[in-house]
Amino acid sequence: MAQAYTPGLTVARRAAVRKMRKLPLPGETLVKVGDAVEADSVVARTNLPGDAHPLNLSRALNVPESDVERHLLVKLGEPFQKGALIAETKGFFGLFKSRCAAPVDGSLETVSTVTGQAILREPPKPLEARAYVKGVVVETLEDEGAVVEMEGAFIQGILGVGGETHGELVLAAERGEELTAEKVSPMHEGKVLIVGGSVRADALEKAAEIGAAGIAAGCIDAADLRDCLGYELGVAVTGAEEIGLTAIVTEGFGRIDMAEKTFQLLTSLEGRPASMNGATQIRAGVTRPEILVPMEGEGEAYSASALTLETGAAARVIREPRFGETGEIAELPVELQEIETGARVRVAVVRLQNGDEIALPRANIELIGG
Amino acid sequence: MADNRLRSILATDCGSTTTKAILIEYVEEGEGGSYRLIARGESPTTVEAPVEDVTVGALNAVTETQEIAGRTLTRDGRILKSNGGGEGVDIYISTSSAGGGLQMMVAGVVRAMTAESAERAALGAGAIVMDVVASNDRRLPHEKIEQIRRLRPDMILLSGGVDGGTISHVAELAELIAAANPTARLGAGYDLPIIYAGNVDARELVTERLGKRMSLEIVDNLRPVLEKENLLPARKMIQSKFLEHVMAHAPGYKNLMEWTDADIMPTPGAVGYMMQTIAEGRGVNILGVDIGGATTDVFSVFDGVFNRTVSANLGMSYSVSNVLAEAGIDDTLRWIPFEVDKRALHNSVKNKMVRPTTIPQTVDDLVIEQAIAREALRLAFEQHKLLATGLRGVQQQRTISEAFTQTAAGETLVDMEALDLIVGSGGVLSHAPRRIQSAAMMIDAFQPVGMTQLAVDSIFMMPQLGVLAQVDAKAAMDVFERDCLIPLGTVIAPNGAADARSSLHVSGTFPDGSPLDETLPSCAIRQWTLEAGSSMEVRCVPSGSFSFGEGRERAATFEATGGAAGLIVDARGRPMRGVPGQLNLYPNRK
Repeated sequence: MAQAYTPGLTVARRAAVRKMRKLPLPGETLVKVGDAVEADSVVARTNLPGDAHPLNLSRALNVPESDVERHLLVKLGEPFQKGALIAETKGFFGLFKSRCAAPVDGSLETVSTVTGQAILREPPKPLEARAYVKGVVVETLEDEGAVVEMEGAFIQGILGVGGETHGELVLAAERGEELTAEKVSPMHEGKVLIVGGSVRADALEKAAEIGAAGIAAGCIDAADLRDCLGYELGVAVTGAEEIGLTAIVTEGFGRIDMAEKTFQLLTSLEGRPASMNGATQIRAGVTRPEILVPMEGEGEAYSASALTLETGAAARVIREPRFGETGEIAELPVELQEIETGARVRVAVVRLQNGDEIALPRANIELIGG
Repeated sequence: MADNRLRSILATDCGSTTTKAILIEYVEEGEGGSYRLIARGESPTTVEAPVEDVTVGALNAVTETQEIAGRTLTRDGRILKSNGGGEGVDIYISTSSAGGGLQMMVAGVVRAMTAESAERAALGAGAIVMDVVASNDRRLPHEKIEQIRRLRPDMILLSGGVDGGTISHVAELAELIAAANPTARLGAGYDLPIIYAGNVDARELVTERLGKRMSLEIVDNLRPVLEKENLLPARKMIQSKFLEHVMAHAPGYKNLMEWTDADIMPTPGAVGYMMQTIAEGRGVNILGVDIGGATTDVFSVFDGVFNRTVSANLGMSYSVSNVLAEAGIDDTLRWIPFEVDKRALHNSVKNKMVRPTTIPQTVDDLVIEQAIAREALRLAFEQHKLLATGLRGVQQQRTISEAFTQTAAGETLVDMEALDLIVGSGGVLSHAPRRIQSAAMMIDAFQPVGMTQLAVDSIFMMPQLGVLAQVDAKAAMDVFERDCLIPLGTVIAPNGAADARSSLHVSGTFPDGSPLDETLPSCAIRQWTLEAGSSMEVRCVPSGSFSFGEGRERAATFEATGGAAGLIVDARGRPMRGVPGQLNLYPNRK
């Protein structure tokens, strides 16, 4: 059956999380099943083909396209260094020669007698896939990488910027508190900062400046995110931003404190190493940003089946006017009901923590799992 | 003679988030029968992890359909073929845009000529065009190589040169593509399909450069001469390669392809086919729009010429923040009749982006969402007008009058005065709490001129009907007319500026005998009830700057048809300026 509600983000003290660590091209897998790995461990390695550089020899030598092959000084596939002569005309009695030097280190890949164009290929670039999380290799992918399993805390955010990183968790601001530049200090270098309230653009900049690994905050104002990125984030596809650190918000935009459960879990893990990734893609195959804290055999295992829309389930409102408030499902009427807008939708009656009971579209609540 | 008519048809559309199934049956009613929608079901699409098999989502949607219809449609995890005992279906067909649909890169020699024709061919086949590479696109060769390598398209369409024209530029493009050697999006396990539809004289050169590295297909030149575009062979090959390569490598599609009784079509390709069928069947010029969460597709058929564009980042959820960024906050605020805190608006829009399934709960929230929708539709339509053009680069003999009016090759084919019907679909239009809100959004965004009928697709069935039209056009049109299309009514709007001296007098007699006799001052808009299925003659006398194309002060008479929003007369001027007046769209607002 179609689900009319948002399943909610995972906030679990203990979960077994598997991470596929795959190379973009076939290469060499360096680990075997059962190997213990650290976040920094290299699990696979390959060589990316170097960049291609087109060079129009016909124009450079001032000869017809069909003649360029005759003037080559290197063979196809032959390596050369930047500045080396790769083509030369005979000139006039050995004088007035036209020459062409290699603009990069590389080799000659192709030469066209139709366009006069040569393609020079730079040397391959080594590329490594790292484990990203501390854990155990549970599967190897022939020539492509491995699957690493981590046991520990698993917290999903709603949106992040920046890619994979890791560092020690440290509390920087309580719930209800704003992280400003003044509160960021050199002691945060290499750390992942926990912020119970919102984070300001100047704090993100200062944290990046002093070399913090990341920030996990409750929320951010849309204007602060724009100031930090230097552009308006129009589509929620992130992960490649280069702002000097990785930042994750767990609730959203505006002024919403980090959910109490998330905040308590993160602060209880202060001092432990955490891996985090801001990559987010909210379309076909949703990817949410994440914080992973390895903790072997501690806590109760997380069960995905806990996330069922039923009476008594813990839920949070995820749209105005009661955005961020939590409570429990009191009733799930079957019949469609008309809401203020005039739309007829399936609703859930939620008993909020302050005792209010409100009916709201099921699409506007999320279950708090884990 | 035995009746070999199809009795039951099951069709699914595997979308990027939801798979929708519909059951259509032949129903005997009155004199002769017709095809009707019996039931509809939906379920989340299952192309991604952890399921990674599209057939699971399709079966779930069909299972919901069978529960609603009270008929057995599946057995042992398969679609059941009709067994004569009232179980199963005669045929099963499907469309798909799951996994991001068909993503293509196109290349041509001149950006405004062969490259643009290639772009139209790809869009018409249902693709999202990730980039258009052209010899004259001002990027340096190494920049083009980097871009091609980075994109990882599903397929490339290479064109270039008229037959007998340039070969060196085409060869150069082929060399750049070969140097980039891009990997297919769905993995390195198969050769990237590339279709060559350019100068016939360059075929050998292209084959030499690309034949060994990629899965190369050669079709007729899509621009054999400057004056002619021949897009059909390229479009057909794109759809064939879509099945053979792209679909075959998407999770579960091999099974789905075995189950279906006709080729799976890319969803927008099927919608486009349906639009063409409607335009041809009714003999009208049509504009269609599908506004989704991430993208907005615009389709048009004017004088039989079909065009489709997709605005990749203009949508109402995943990309809603981009709509606000592109439209600008001031253009958006003109549709909101109350004070809005701009900071709060930005935060609220971004919260919708990260929680895309939420819906407006308050009337103010609904007003804001529909204001953004107007801007998304407007921007997507602007992009459509730019691409739906006559051929550029064509030498034309002009008459003196054309020279004065500056009509030129490459002008948009979208002629608002000649437009007969606008069909809207997508959540914000199909599910607006009041139909008049859908009508208002389309009128504000597209600004139709003269008389135009408006309609919405009730539950976005056009993809399934598009693929059905290829199998049984009557069945598709029956369901389209009776169950898919909801007529909203008619809008009448004069051309010209809404200045102080302009006004519009409308008169006529409603079907119940009551008179229509009103003068609309400049900037006004009015609405009257005119039930679906009824019609009336409306005489319009424009004055001042207003006209209906017959000259100023010249009366025009229109046959208006009814619908859920009735008859709307819009005297806000064309183009609309400033903060336009509105109908009472939100009676619930306190």
